Amino acid sequence: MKKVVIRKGIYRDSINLMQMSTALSKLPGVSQAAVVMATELNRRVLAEAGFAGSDISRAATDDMIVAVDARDAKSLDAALAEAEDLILSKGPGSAGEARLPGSLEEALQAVPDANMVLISVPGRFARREASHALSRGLNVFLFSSNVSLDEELELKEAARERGLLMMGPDCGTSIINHKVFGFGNAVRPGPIGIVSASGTGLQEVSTLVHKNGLGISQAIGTGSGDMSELVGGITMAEGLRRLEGDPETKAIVLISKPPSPKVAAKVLAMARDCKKPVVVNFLGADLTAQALGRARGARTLEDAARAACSAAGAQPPSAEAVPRELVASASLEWPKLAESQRYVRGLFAGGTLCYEAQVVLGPVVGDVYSNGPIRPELKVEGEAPSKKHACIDMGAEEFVEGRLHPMIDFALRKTRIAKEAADPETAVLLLDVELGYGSNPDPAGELSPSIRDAKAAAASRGRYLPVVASIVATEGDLQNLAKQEATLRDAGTLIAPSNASATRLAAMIASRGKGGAS
Amino acid sequence: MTAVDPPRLEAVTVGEAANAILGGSRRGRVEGVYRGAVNVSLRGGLVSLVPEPSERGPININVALPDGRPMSSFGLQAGDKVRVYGTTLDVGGRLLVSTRSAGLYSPSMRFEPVLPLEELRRNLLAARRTGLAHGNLSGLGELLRAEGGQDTRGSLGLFASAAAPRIEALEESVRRGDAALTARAVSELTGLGPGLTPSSDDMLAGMALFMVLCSRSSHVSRPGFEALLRALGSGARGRTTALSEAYLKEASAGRGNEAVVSLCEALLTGREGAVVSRTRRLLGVGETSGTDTLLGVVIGGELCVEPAHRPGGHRP
Repeated sequence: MKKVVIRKGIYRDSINLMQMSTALSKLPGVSQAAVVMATELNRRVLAEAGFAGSDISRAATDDMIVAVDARDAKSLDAALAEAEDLILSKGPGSAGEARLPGSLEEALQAVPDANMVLISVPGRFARREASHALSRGLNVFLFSSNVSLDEELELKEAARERGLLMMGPDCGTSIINHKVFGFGNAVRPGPIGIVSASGTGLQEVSTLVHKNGLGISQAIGTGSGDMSELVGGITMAEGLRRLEGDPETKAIVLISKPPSPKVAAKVLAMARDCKKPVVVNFLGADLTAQALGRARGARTLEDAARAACSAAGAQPPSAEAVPRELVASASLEWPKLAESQRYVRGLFAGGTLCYEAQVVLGPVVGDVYSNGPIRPELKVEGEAPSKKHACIDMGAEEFVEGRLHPMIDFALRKTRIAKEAADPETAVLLLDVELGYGSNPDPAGELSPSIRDAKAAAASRGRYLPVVASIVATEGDLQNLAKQEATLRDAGTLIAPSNASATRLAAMIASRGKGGAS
Repeated sequence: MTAVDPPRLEAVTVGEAANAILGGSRRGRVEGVYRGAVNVSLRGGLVSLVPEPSERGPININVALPDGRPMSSFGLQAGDKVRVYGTTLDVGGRLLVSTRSAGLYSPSMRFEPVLPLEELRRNLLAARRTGLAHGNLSGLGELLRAEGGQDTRGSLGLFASAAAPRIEALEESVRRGDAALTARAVSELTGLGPGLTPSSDDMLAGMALFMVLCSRSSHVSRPGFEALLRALGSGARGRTTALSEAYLKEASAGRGNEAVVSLCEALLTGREGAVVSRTRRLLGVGETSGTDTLLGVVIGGELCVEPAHRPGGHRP
């Protein structure tokens, strides 16, 4: 059944029109829905498609047409009622519109005693907004990326002069006074403080600390540019200083991909002199005992979480490179591999998890190619077909520009899973899944059909495709961890307790049990 | 009792066309009010008041909103009267916009040196593939799949399937240089598709803009191409939304938003990496507008590089 409704004097931008079309199309019993401007040609095309109604010919160009094709009258009425609700609730300035602050000043009018602001605007405006916030005496969490290092330095120096904390730019996660900013997980309060130049690194360590029975006092994101030589680790140093003085924090974890040597030396000097135990995880960096002094080095994020818990006086469960029951499951997988299946293919939403996987895989399987490689000669374009062992950061700029982050939008990763499944050299797919604030409401539901399809596609070509994943999450996360695990397992995924463990498991499968467990 | 002055906003940039329209107009009316724009119809044409940060464009007046309100929160309604006093725009007596210290957005319409034909083709292919991988295909973007004459019509949505044969007819009319057929083909596309600027209009704007910029940069001129510009300049009137009409008119004069102009520049003179990054930027414009505009740019570009219509000025 097809029907059109004309609405006059309703002004919606393209995004609203498309969102309404999409929302109506997804309603039960609706096979097609369109909310479009009533131009002559749109009216004609709709009429030709059978949407002719009594009033379609009376519409004017700037009117809005709601066209719905539903299987029965009940579905049609429900869809048109929903359309009306959407129109009424989304109108600019209408009573139903949530009035979000459009600027810092407006936000401060609403919350005059705020002392921190989260800013997420296009990169070219980020410096201006953050600078304004600092001048108003606010600590800043700057989510925006595409801010130059010069601008970052300027902002961080201004923050330092005013005694404020400048988290970011390109800061994905912080937990301040037990409130999550950006992407993050429902971790319990506790004695571990974190300062991290990596968003997913912070998430992985904080959730592993939670799984080890402890919790987080503060987790300060610095933004990925902080540990560059130009910026000089200003926020890392400030975060460490603040955690040293924080009575709730008993042990501190510092996380970064390999920093500039000069900055690493500066931060390590502070860590050595810190009155509290400090665990340093500069992924892939070779930290000597002399450089670390009293601080403790951790090779992986998993090691860092465990070491921090020990330093805070807890006894985390004993370390197993890969849990025994997973080794047993994996040993049933590799005998099914075809001879051509030789390589691990990691597709990551978390950039630091991608990097950690390379750190773990390299010593076991040899060179690992990546769009964010450990060594420059292993660099490949992210969108190019995978080469040998490969770990691809699907959250890299080349993938996310103009799109949502892959922790929210799985479209590109799903496409890539299908491509890897079609490659006869793929021995095992390695995935990360992030739950928590900001992430997709049902990541396992998004990935599982693709995993099933990938396995089926491989099977149709006479191959068996193992899939290994880790889930960055706690049981308190909104997406329901148990349900997410069950959904992925039902799709044939082996789930490891950490990214490092999942990587070892993948290596073990690809090498037919020869690597990974050590 | 004291009268309350309406808020006064400072314009940061004014598009070239908007500047000319303000210079020649005294009165007008509010055409539409949206969260992200207030469109004002003046005697010389339509201008769009948009908040920073927004793409700079020929009809845009980008205004700083110090109190951060959405453009829809000033109590304005369609039909409100507008007056222009010198460099101040009085919108419905509820909002004053000063353009006194605004910069002029007036991008170059000529890019040199233009790449050899083969590199231009490669750039167009990179843009097309980037659009397919990253664009919002729910307008006409699915038609980007029609690489090398591939027929994709079986799987298209309502508006894309209506647009596909019409676009083919337009391409053919431009190839033939047939002004009457071109005018008819343009009228059969104008106003078609979803969006406040309907998808086909975005496509037409991208196509025209690339062809104008290519012709100015490489001195190409063809009867079909000029007929297309004439049809867009005049034939859209009353057939689509006021905003779309304004954009089509500007595109036919070689003026477009920053994102599409910078893509055209990269296609004509740049390396593949620049093409990909600028395509991605264009894809971020609007909901489907960026992707639909890209489709037009690619179609316009492919018409320009076809052997029979080889633009002059290329290096051998």
